[in-house]
Order: sequence, then C-alpha cells, then structure tokens
Amino acid sequence: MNELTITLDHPDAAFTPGGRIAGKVEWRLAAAPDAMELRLVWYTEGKGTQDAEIVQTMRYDHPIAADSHTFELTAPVGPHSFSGTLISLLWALELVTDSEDHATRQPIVIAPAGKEIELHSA
Amino acid sequence: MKAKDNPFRAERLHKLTYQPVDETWPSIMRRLSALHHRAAIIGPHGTGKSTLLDALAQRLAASGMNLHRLFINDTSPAPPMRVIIGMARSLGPRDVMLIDGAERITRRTWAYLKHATHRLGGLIITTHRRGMLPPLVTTRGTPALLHALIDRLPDVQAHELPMSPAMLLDQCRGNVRDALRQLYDHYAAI
Repeated sequence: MNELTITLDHPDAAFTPGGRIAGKVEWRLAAAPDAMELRLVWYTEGKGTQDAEIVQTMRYDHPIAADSHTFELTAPVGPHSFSGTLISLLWALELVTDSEDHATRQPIVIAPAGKEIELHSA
Repeated sequence: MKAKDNPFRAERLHKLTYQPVDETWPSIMRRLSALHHRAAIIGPHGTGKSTLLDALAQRLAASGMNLHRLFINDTSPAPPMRVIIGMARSLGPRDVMLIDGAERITRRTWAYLKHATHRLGGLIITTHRRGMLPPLVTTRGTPALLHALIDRLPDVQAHELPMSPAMLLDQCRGNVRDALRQLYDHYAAI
C-alpha cells in the first residue's frame, strides 16, 4: 500500500500572494524511492489546450520508505487563481516520487483575499 | 458552470484512451505485425485516429521499439522533404516512425518517404486519404462510440444531455471531437 499525503497548516487551503504556505508531507511506500519532490504548480483546465508550470520544488533526496517532513513555501505573486466558463487557472501542491509512479495533489487557491477570482461572461 | 467543473473539460477528454470497437487489442497488434508495422489508421476528422496512434505508441514503446513522431496539422505544417527523408534515413530496424496527419505530405515526398523507410522497424500513419499504406483500422464517428465515451466520463448522466448522441453526432457531421466540444459548451452555459 502506497500512501502520500499533504497536510496544510491552513485547512481552508486559501492563500494570498506572498503569503506563507506551510504544512507537512508524509509518505508510506512499499520501497524507498530515490527522491521525493514537493511541487508548487499552476495549471489550466477548460475547453482548450492545458497549460501548466512548476513554480517551486522542494526535493527530498534518498528518503526512507516511510517518512514525513514539514515544509514552508511563499505563495507567488501571480498568476492568481481564477475561473470562468472557458478556462480556470488552478494552483496545487503535488507530492511525487521522482519516478512519478506515485503522486498526490492538494488543490490550493492563491489570490487576493485568498478567494478565487470569478470571471463572468459579457 | 466553471471550466474546472465542466465534465467535458479538455483534460478529462484527453484521458479517454482508445478502446477498440468490435475487436480486441491483440487482434489489432497481430494485424500490425502481419503488415510489418507499415500501416495506416484511416478515418475522417475527430473519429479517434490520433487517440489510436497514441495507444499504439504506448504498446510499441513497451515492446522496446524507439518511436519518432511527426505531427502535421494546420499549425504544424509538414517539414521540407529533405528533413523528413533525412530523419527516415537516420533510423534503423528498432525505430518506428509515426506520422499523424500524413495526408498533408505531398505525393512526391510520400513516394520518397515510403522508399526511405523500408529498413525501419515500422511506419504508421494517420490519414484521411486511402491508398497511402494498407489500412490497420478505419475509424468512424458513430453514436455508439460517442455514447461509450460519454459513459466513461464520471459525473455525466446520458439523460442530462441536451440531445441524443445520434442527433448530436448528426449535427457535428460525425465528428466525435466536435460533439464533445459542443457538450462542453452546453455545460458551460448552465
């Protein structure tokens, strides 16, 4: 049984640009991976082609099969989380093994006042 | 409905892998082998040719073949003949060339390419045009295919759709991809 978890200090998972994103990552794997990575990413979802970018990475080299670490990141100033009918821009933390065989994703919001911006059709 | 909640958002549609219709993967792979891995996936726009090519690529890569993919469409025109032929000549028996949109290659370049790829491990193309290579699979946009794809999307109930898959496909002239995009628009307006 392989388990990966990301637990945020702020359970509402909402952050302001420049704010502190802190929490704990844990994994329990059948075998020790070569490395684990915690990634702060944004990606789009919607009707068209998906865009995505890894903005920050924390790497844990040669970890044991079951371990946990606390982490602290700074929320980037942009882009802000937003959503309309054609496209949404979403932020997330991803914990992945370096082989990318195992991964988990924790969606978060990064926007002024920690509230996703809603786009309205004209 | 927000894009991130739309059940027909692109990321979900991309996860709809090819599923053979009226046959099995082993039978497709046997036929491909019998054709010496030189074959065409033939069909109209939006009927799953590229999706099938993706699925074949995964299987060929898993069997140890090296894949070299050329994607040709409106925004990615075919490279000059010398580039395509040069690429083909640099490859060997463990290499398979995959060409998506081969009907856009000029007939002259195609004649040279067919010759230049004879010692390769394979040449598999998608095309609207018959006669380029022996057909491996002929794709068609059918109501049954559209229905099966919709059934594979979580959170979508067939009875909630604005019209039947048959009517939708008729409106989209058999283009399954366009039909799914139309369903995106339907949910976006909710």
